[in-house]
Amino acid sequence: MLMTMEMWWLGFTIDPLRLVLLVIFCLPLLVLLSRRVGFEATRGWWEDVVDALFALGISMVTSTVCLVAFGAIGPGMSAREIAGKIAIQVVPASIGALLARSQLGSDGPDEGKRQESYGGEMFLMAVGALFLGFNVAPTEEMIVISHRMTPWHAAALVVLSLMVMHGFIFAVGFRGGTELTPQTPWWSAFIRFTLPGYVIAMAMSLYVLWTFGRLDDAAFEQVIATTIVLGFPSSAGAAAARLIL
Amino acid sequence: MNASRKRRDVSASHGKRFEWAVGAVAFVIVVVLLGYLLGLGTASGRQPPHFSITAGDVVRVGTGYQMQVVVTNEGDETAADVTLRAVLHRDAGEEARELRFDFVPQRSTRRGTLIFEQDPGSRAAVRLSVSSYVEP
Repeated sequence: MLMTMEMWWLGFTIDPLRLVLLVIFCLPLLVLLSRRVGFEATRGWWEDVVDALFALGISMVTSTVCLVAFGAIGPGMSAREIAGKIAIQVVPASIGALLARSQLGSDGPDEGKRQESYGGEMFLMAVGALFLGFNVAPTEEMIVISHRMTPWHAAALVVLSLMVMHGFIFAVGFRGGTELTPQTPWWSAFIRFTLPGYVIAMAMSLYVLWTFGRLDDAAFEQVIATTIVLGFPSSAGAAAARLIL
Repeated sequence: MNASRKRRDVSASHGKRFEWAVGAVAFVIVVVLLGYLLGLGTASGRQPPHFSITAGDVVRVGTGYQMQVVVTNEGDETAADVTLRAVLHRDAGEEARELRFDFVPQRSTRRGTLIFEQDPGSRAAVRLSVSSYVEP
């Protein structure tokens, strides 16, 4: 992300209001995420808020240091450009900071005992979709692919996304957590988890694309096509979220 | 104890019903999406890209005159590398300018700005045309 040119450009082309909205939207997300994975087993909401702010602060410092080292920010740039470049990195970086614990940290004694509620499940899917969607949404390729696709390609991609997602959910679902068991018929899990998950991933894709200004002046058909293209990686991210988190 | 278990069963079946309701809504959304795409795919008479160009007001900025142009692709396919040519006829001579748009997707608009040294006076003095595009 830090090494992606498009992300630097977005730093100064993005609508500042949308950037502010993104950071604001990110905060409650981080608090909820901290509640689930977090740096430490927290006792109260207040500690989650502190952890979320800590993740935000850490990612801001890290992003700034890296961007300076890469020469992406330096003297001669306006304050707005520098602020934009840092702010846009903060969202994925802070999610990453919170996830680092679950990926790198040692498992706590309570690990695996956690029973996810349905809402919690959907929330994790949203975070996974946002995280992965954020990683690919800025790239030019998303737009180029959507321009090359006919409606037939798009429809096929929707089906493919659903299949990949369902494969993930079915494979991962058995690792415990939800009441998904090998006895659950595939269509039951498909309707209750895969389809809502896909719609969530699409909504996240739409939001990220809008934030990045990818949908401005675009026709409805184009909006749908681009969302479907981004929906492919972000639905995989949504399905894999449980594996990571 | 029996009552509490019954209550838990009730709330569990409520949860289940909620899950199915969410699933049903999502199902409808995905079916509508697929239907929309198939409808688009089977629609006949898809037109190749063609463009309409509208010029905005001329604004004097610094030593130049800036004129915003809006290009709309009226076709059903995306055009890439769209080149827009602008020629300003004045007594002092001609000024030719060129604008390149990476992409103008179907039924979508893109904006650009031309900068002239002489005052075009009115938009009518500038001849605008799209001279080429490539398929993405």
